[in-house]
Amino acid sequence: VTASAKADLVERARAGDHTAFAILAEAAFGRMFGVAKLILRDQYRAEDAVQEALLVAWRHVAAIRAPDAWDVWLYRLTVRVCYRLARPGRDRAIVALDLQPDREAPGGEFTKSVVERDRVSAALGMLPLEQRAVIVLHFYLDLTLAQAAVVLDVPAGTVKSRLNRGLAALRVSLGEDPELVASAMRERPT
Amino acid sequence: VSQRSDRVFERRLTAALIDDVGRAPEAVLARVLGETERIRPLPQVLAVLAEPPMVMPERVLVGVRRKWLLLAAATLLLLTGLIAAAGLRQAPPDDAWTTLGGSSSRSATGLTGPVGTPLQRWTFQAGAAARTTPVIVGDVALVGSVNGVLHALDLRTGDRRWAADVGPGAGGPTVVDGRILIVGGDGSVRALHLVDGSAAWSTAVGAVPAVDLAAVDATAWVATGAGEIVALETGSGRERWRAAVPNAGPASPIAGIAASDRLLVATVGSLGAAALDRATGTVVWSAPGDGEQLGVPTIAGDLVWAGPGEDVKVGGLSALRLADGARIWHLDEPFAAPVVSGDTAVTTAASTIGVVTGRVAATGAERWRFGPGGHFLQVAIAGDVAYVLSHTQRQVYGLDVGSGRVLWQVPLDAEPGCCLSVARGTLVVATSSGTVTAYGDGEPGVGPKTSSAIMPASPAATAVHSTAPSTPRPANPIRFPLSVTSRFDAASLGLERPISVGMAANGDFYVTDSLHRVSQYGPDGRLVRRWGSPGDGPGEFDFGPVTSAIGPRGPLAVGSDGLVYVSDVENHRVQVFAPDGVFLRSVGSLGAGPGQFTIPFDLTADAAGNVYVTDDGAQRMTKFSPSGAVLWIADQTTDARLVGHAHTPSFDGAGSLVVTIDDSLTIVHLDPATGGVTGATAGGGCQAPVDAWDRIYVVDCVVGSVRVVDAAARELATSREMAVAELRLLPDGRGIALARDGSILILRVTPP
Repeated sequence: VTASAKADLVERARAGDHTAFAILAEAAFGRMFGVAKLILRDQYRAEDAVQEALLVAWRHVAAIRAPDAWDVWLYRLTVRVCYRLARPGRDRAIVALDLQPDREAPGGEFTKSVVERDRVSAALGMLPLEQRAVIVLHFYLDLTLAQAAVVLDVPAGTVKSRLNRGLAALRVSLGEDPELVASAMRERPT
Repeated sequence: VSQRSDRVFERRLTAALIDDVGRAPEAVLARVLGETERIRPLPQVLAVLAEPPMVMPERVLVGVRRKWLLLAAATLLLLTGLIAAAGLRQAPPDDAWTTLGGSSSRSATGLTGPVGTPLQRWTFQAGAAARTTPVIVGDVALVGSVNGVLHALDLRTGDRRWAADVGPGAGGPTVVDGRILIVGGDGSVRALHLVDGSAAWSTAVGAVPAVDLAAVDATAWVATGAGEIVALETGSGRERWRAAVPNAGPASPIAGIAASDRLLVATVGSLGAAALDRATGTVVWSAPGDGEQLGVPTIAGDLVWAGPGEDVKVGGLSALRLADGARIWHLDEPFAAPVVSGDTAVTTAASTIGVVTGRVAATGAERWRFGPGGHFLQVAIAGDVAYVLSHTQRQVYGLDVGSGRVLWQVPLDAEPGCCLSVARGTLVVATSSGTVTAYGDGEPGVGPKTSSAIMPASPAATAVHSTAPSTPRPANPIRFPLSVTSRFDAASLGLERPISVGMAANGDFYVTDSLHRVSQYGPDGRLVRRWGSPGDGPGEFDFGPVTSAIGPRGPLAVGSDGLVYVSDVENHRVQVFAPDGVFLRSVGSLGAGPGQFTIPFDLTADAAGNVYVTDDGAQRMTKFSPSGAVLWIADQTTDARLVGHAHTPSFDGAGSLVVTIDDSLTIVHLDPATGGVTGATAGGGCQAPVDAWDRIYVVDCVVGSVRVVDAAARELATSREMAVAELRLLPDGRGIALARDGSILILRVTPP
């Protein structure tokens, strides 16, 4: 979907055109789910989060003032729901490590990359929620720090400090394994 | 080194995050879209107040700045009051016509029709007959045409947004969760994205075409030709369960299915109905039938109705308790399963009885009866209006649900394809000529703005009403070219329920009748000879019983050399006789192989003695040499335009073999040497013989009116008085017809 086409779809959705909303939702769904799953570390809660975020988006679609803010707004709704679902007192500790393979993950050999993925995943799961969210927005969605600040509704400086602290924590968790770093450098020379 | 290490680490992190996400579950998206489809967004003023602002340094992206919230809240209160005072009407959340019958219960509720007398809003030419239900969802109307194209039209303007090739023989669209589901002619179910028609998934559910589909809340249920119901996830097409319907099978197919919030109800041919648990496929109850051919059931409240299918003239309507299948009431008249509004069930009589009734849903007691005659195809209800589609009258009637009083009539430009749909203030009707027309709000209580298009009912119109249809005049009308030179009633000819007629070059005519015999008459109606008796030996026939829903069938044809060809339908063969009735040979036997027949039907012979036979069961045509050798077979596998039941092969002046296909209402030209299709046009019927001047005489399938068209299917003249069951024309300007009252008409064709 091109930017101009997306702007047109947003305008149509604002006017109550569900078909336009469906196109937009379908285009964003995969990344919304990714954000939710990485933040919540739980497939089922991620599904709930995306579902709730999209429902809110449809109900409140007329609140959009700038069509080019559509994606960022969806991410904001997703993160907002994730924060709420991750509050203490929920029936599962969100920061708990979940090293079970994805139920949707493709089958096959339990390869080295899967091991590494799970190590990164476990390390990410140990971060505070706010740091995790910044890392997901910046590295998974490739948002700028300014965009991430809008999504999270915090100053850009706060985003930067959370990112730095989060990365440092991840380095500590993962850097203890020199083989991982060395392996990465071998496979991805710059 | 440190910076390089940082970059590598960050790339590794990004890769691990992407890898960690896995596949997004499409079923969730489907569930969300299904849910959002049923609700409406908040008005802007409420939305911007309810949604926390999202602000870039230079502008507000979402919502409003917090300092304005107080003022906005006050405005909201004011606006809310104004809205309430103005009594603004909002469309109900379920205002969509999503499938056959409007919803998967087959009796949609909560629909909004046009206000007042409907006014034409737009028309669209689909390029081929449209014979499946149009769908109205959001601001889109979906219409399938028989050439295998699904059109998505803007509901407001009629502009086409996209078109998708769904293949010949495809069923009508069903929309659920942002997907369009269509059963194919090949046993598959395919899903398209509603937004652009792109393919989402396709899955095979059986070896034979599926017969019906219902879908609710991320699940679709497909009734297969093998008598099963298959539950599919609408997001992925994955099979959830598969269950056999009691008494159903290839020989006793499922007629249709309807879904309640817990059960699926299937009607099974003449064997009754059964209910399955929607979630598991477990059979909950099974109710025996009365040997009557049932159509698609409908569900409303705690009742399910099963009545005779279209074109079935016998049987009755039953109301069953949804919970256990117990019969609550039975009506011994052939009324189809109704649509229900409140406590009123509105139903049409099957076939040509031409009656619509309003009944008390709980008891079946008749409240009113509307009887203009002819054949009704469908009833829909939106608000207090019953939209009744008349095939014979080519009109849509608007009836008051409570009284049956005629509110308005909308004439159609062509024979309706099958169905209409009503939702979102719009009435959509598709016709066999391929024209799709949408009607919107008119002015309540007043006449039409375009009187040529709309005819409001006269104040004196009553529930029992008769009207002459308004027919568009042809561009270059001619005088109807057929005239009757002789008429013989069946009794005077000693015939018992004549079946088929043919004429020889010497003016003798031949008739098959229900007593399984062929009678030969001179031009003056004098009996020359008669042969045949029930049986399966040479010269014996089995045309089927008169008590069957379809009646006896025994088409015949007379070759230019005087040989008489008879489709001995129930013996699955064609018998050939000399002009004096001496048996010469038999062609074919029961089977699906080359040269075999399921239901040998209309046939013709060329000057060389080759015979062209249509098979109504196998839906194909076979050319036989005079010795009985198979020369070619033509069907939908050789050309998609041949999908359906072909009728009345005849030859035009150029030597093309001309047939009509009553499923698609197309006229198809074939090369008699190869069986290849050389052309196809919309506008066919159940008969389409060609005269010596290449004018095609299209016989209406229901009432037998005759429309004369040129080779491009442009209408030249129409007769509504002919009412013929069968029409045969000779190259020398003579013809013969079997009238619907059983009499034999000898005809003369007026040259151009």
